[in-house]
Amino acid sequence: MNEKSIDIIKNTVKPDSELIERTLTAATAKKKIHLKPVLVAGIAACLVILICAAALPDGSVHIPSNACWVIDINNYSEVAGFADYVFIGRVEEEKGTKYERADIFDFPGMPYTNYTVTVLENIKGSLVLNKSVDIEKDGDATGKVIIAGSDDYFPKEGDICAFFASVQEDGTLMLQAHKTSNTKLSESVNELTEIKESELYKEIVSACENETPFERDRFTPLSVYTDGRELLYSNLVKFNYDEKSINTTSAVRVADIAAFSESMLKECSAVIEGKILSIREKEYTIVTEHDKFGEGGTLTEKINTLVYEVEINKVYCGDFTEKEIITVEDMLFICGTVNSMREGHSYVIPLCKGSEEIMNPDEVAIISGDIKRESVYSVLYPFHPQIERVNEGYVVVDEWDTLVSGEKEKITVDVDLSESDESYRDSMYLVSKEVFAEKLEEVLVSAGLK
Amino acid sequence: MTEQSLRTDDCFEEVMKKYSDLIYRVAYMNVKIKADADDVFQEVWCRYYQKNKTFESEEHRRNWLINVTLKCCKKIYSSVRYKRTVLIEDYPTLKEEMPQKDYETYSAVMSLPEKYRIPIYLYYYEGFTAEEISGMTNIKSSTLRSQLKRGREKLKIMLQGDDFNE
Repeated sequence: MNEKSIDIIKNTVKPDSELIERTLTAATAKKKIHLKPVLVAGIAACLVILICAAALPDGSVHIPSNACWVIDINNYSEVAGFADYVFIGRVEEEKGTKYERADIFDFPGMPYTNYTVTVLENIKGSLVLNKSVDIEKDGDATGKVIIAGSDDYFPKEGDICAFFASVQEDGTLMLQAHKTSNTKLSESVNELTEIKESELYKEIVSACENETPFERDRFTPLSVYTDGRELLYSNLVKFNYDEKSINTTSAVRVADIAAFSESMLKECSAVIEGKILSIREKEYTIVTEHDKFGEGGTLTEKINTLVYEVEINKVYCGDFTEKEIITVEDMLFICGTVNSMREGHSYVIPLCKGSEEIMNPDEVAIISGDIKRESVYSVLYPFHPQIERVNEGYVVVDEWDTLVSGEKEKITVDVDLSESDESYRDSMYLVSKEVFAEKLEEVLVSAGLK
Repeated sequence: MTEQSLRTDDCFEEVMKKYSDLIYRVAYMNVKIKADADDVFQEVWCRYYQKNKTFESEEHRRNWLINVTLKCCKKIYSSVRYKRTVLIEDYPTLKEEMPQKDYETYSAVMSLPEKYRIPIYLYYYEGFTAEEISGMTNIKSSTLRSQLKRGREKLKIMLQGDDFNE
C-alpha cells in the first residue's frame, strides 16, 4: 500500500460538513439528534422502528411500529439459528422495565424488561444448570409502552419457558423475538419431566437440531456460569481498567506486615458490608522537633492516607446502622488492581477503631501541623483484597481459612496484576451468599465478636 | 499534570477539528456503512462533550476518543439488533482513484474479522505503533502483535500470496 493510496483514503473517507455541523449542534446542546435510519434495501432488512408515540387515555404510550425482521420470529428454527443459547428456565424474578434511548425514540424511550432466570436444561449452548442468569427482554412488561402488533408475552415469576437468548456485545443476554423467545411451557418446576414429553418441547428441540443458520457477529457472554469457561475475575467484579483508580503520590514505606489470620478479627470494632462512594488521598504535613538536625532542629513529615466514604448496607457486628455513611481512613494501603477497593463496588470490611491522632503526641514533640485524623476507623487488614460483594456471591482470598472452607468455586484472575497483587492470582474464590453468611457467622463467633 | 477543562465550545471545536477525520475513518473502517459511521461519529463527540473529561496528555485524549469510537461501533451492532453488516461501496471514488492492487488490499483489510481489521487498519493505514494501538484498544501489546501477525497471514491468503508487509 503506497502513501498516495493512503492519502486518497484519508481525503475521501471523512465526515461531510453537514455532519460536522449537526454533530456540533447536537453535542453542545447535550442532545443527540438521530441521524437518518440505516436501510440497506435489498440486502438485509433492518429492524427499523419508526415511532410516533401517542399517550393513550389510560396513561400508556402506544407505539405503532413498522418492524421488519431478518428472520421469521414465529419460526423456532430461525429464532434458534439467531440465538446463542436455547434453554429451559424458570423465571425467578421480574426486575422491572427500564427505558433507553429516550433521546432518539420519543418519551419514554425503548422499553426493556429484566428477569432473573434459573437454567433447568440446555437445548442449544451450555449454561450451568440450576444457576440463575440475568436476561433482558425487548418490551414493556408494565404495559406502559405497547408496541403495536407485537402480540408479546411477558413471563411471570414461576413460569417455565423455553428461552431463546442472544448475547449482546456487552455480554448480557437478550430475548428479542417477542413471545417466541420466551415460549411458556409450564408454571411448575415439578413438571419438567412432563414438559419433556410435550409436543411443544419436542418441536423446540427439533427446531434447534435443524436450526436455520444465521450469520452475524457473536459476542462472549458475561455470565460467569457458562460451562466450559473459567470463572473469570474480570467478569465477576465487572473489572474495567477505565475505572478511577488510586493515583497515590505517597512514598514507599517499609513496614513489617504480619500474615493475615482470622484471629486478627479480635482487634475489630465492627464488620460491615458497604458500598464505596468515594476514595481520595489525603496529605498531612506535620513538623516535629528532631535532634538529629542539631538543637532546635525540625523534621517536616508528609503523611498520606486513603480516605473512603462508605455507605453501609449491612452490619455484621459493631455499632453502625444500615444506610449510614461513614468515613474510613487508612494510614497504610497498597495500590493494585485486586488490592484496591474501587468506587461503586461493595465490600465486606472489618474495621478497627484507632486513635484520633495521626501521630502520638506523647512520643513526638509536634511543632505545627494538623495531627487529627479525619476518621478513627481503618480497614483491619489493608494488605490483601477486601471481600468483594458481587451478584453471584462473595470474592474471597484464601487467607480467610473458614470462609473458603465450605463450598466454593476457584476464580481465574485474568486482569493485569501489579507486583503487589501477583500472589493473589491463584487464591481467589467465589463463595455463595448462603455459604458466606454461614461461615462468616462462625468466624465472628470464634473471634468473640458475636 | 495539566488539567484542561473541555467545557468551552471553542476548545471543543478545536479538538473536534483536530480529530474528526481520524475518528470518522476509524468508525467507517469498523462499521463499514457510511450512515452507521455518521451515527458513531455523532455519538463519540456527544459523549466527549458531555463527559467533560480531563486528559493527562494529547495522546491520552486521542486514545480515549478512539477507544470510545470502537465502543460506539460495537453498540451500533446491538442497537439495531437484527441488522447484518454488509460492505457497501459508499465511496466509489476510492476504486477509481486508487491503483487496483491497493484497492484490492484495502477491500481485503475491510473484510477481515473485526479483531484483525482494527489493528491492521490502525497500524498500516493510520501509522500508529503497536504500543499506541494497545493504548487505544486496551489490548495487551503482545496480543496485539499476534493479531497483527495473524491478520497479515489472513490477508496473504486473501490476496493469493501477495505479502502484506508494508
